[in-house]
Amino acid sequence: MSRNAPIAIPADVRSRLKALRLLPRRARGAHGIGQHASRSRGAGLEFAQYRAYEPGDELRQIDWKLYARSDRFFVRESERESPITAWVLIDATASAGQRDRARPDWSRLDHACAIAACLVELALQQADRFGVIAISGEGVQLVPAGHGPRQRDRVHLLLRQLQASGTWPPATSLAPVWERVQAGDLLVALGDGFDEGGIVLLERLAAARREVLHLQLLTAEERDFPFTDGHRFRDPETGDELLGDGRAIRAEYLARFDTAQRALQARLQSSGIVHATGYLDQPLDQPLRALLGAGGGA
Amino acid sequence: MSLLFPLGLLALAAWLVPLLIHLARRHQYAPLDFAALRWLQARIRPRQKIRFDAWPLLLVRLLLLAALALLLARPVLHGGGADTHAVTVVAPGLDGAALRGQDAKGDWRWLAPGFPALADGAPASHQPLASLLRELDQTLPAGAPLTVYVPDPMPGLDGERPRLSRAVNWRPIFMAPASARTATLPVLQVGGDIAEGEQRVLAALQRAWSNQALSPARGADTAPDAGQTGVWLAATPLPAAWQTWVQQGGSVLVAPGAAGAGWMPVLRDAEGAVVLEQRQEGSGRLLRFSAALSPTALPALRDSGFPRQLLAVIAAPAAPTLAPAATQAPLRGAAAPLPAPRELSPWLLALIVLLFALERAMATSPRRGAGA
Repeated sequence: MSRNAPIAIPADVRSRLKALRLLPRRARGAHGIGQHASRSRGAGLEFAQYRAYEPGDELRQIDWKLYARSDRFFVRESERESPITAWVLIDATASAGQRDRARPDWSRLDHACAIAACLVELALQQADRFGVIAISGEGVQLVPAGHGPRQRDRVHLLLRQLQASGTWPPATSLAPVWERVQAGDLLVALGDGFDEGGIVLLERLAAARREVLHLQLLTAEERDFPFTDGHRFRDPETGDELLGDGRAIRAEYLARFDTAQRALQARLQSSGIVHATGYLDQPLDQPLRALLGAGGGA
Repeated sequence: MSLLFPLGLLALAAWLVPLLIHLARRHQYAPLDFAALRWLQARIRPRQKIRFDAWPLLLVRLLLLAALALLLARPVLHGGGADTHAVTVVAPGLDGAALRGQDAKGDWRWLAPGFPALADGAPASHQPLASLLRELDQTLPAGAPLTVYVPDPMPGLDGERPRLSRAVNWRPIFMAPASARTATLPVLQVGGDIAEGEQRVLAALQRAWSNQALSPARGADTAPDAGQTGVWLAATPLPAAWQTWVQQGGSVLVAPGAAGAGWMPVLRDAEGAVVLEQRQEGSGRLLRFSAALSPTALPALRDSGFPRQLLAVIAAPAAPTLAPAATQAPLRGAAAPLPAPRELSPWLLALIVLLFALERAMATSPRRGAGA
C-alpha cells in the first residue's frame, strides 16, 4: 500500500462492520448503561454550547438564569458523553514491516493500520471517543482521544505517516501511554505479539483496570512456512541471520511456533486480556469479529 | 541404427551446463525478513539430496542437447523397407522411347553415368557399359529385378565379363556398329641426313610392312604428316619443328645414344638383349635402337620376324571393342550390394527445431517465476 494513499476500507468489510460493537465488559457493568442510549443527566454532564430556543424544545432545558440576564430564551445544550474511550495501540517496530512474498505490497503494518481504521469507524458509529497510539523504535506517537469525523482525519493522518522501524522501546519511554489511557478505557492492541515488552505493557494495563484486547496479526508465511528452498532468514529487529533449507526446518518450526502461540494465549488469558489472531491473507473484519464477538458479547 | 561418428556423442558433456544452471539456482542468499526467527532452529547441514528446480524445462534442455550430440554423431538407420522395384536400363545409342513403348509406369533409365531417367534424353557417354553395369548392380538394393537393353554387337567392354550379384534380364537389340575400323599400316618418314646402310634397312622395313618404297627424306623444317612415323637418325639434335610434332603425339625414331633419361626397353631379341627403347615426350614418344641400324651392329635385323615385331611396337594392333552381346550376358556370383543406410539428419534437425521452440516457449513463459 502506498503510504500516501488514504486508508480505504473495502465496501464489503464496511458493510459487515455495522454488525460489530465496541463494548467493554467492565465499563458496561460499572455504569449500567447500554449502547449510550441516553444522555447522562448527572454530575458529569459536560457543557457544550448555548443555542437559541426553537419551538418544540422542552421548557425545562431553557436556561432561566440566562433568560433573566439577556431577556432571551436560550437552550443549554450539553455533550452526549460517551461512557468509554477507545484506544488503538499499534506495534510499529521493524517486525511490522514484514510482508508475504505472495503479496509484497502489503505489510503487517498496512494491515494493522487498515484494522485501526475499521476500529475508528466502529467508534465513530457509536460516537465514542477514540485515540491512537503507535509504538515504534523512535518512541510513542499518539493522537489524543477525541470524537467526530475530524478526529478520524487526525487519526488517518497519523496512520499514513507510520513507518515500521526499530525495536520495542524500554518501559520508561512508554509514560505517555499511562498518561493518556485512563482507567476504564478500552484499548485494542494490534501487533505481532512477538515483543516481550509489548506483552508486559498489556499485562500491566490490564492489571490497572484498563479494558485490554489483543489482536495478533501474523503473516501467512509465519502460519504456513511455505519455503521449499534454501534461504537466509533475517530477523528485522535484531538483525540475526539463519541459513536454512525450508523443507528441512519446516516441521520443527511449526511445532515450536504453535507451542509459543499457545503459551502466549494462556498468558494473556490469565491476565484477562481478550485475544484473537488475524492473518494478512484474511479479510480485515474476520479477526475483529473473533475479537469483539467473543469479548464484547454483542 | 548405428553412428557414423560416435565421437560426436562426446558433445553430451554439454549436459553439465543446464544441470549446473538448474542446480546453482537452488540457494537464494538474498536475506529474507522473518520476524518469527526465534522459533527457527538451524540445521547445520541442509538436506544433502540433490534437487533441480524447473525440471520440465531442464528435461527439454537436456533432450535438446542430446539431439544436437546425436546430430554430430551422424546416426544412420540400417534395414527398413528397401525399394526393390524393377529397373530397366537402356544403353545409349538404342531408341529408348521405342523400347519403352506403352510402359509408362516402370523405372526406365539410361545406362550412363548417374543413370538418368529415360525421359531426360539420351546422354553422350563414353563410359564402358560393363563398368556401368557393375556400378548399377551395386547401387540398386539387393532383390530389385534388372532388365538391360544392350546393342548387339556390344561395345564398351573391358577386361572381364561383368559379374553381378543378381540375375539380369539380358535383352540384346541388333544395331549396326557406327563404322568399321580399318587398320592403317605405318609409313616411315625419314628426315635429315641419313647413311645409306640405314636408308636401306628402313626401305626394307617399309617394303616388308606395306610393300611400298620409302618416301623421300624431308628437311629439318618440315615435320612428318599425321599417322606417319618419323625417323631422325642424323647426328644433329631433333629440330624444333620435329620436337613440336613429337610433343603433339608423334613417334620419332632417333639415333642410338640420344640423350635423356627415362628410356624403357620395349623390344628384345631372342637372346634377351635390348633392341629398342622408348621415352615419353609430351603426348608423343621417342624411340631409339640400342645400336647403329646395321645387321652387324644389331643382329636382330637379320631375324625374319623383326619387321613384324617392330610393327607391333610402332603400331600396336587395336584391342577388340565389339563382341556379340549374347556372349557378354553378365555372370552371377558377385557380392551382394551393401544395403545403403538411411540418413536420419533431416528428422533430427526437425526435432531439434521443435525442441528449441518448446524450450524457448517454456523458458519465457510468463507463468515462470522471476528466474529466466
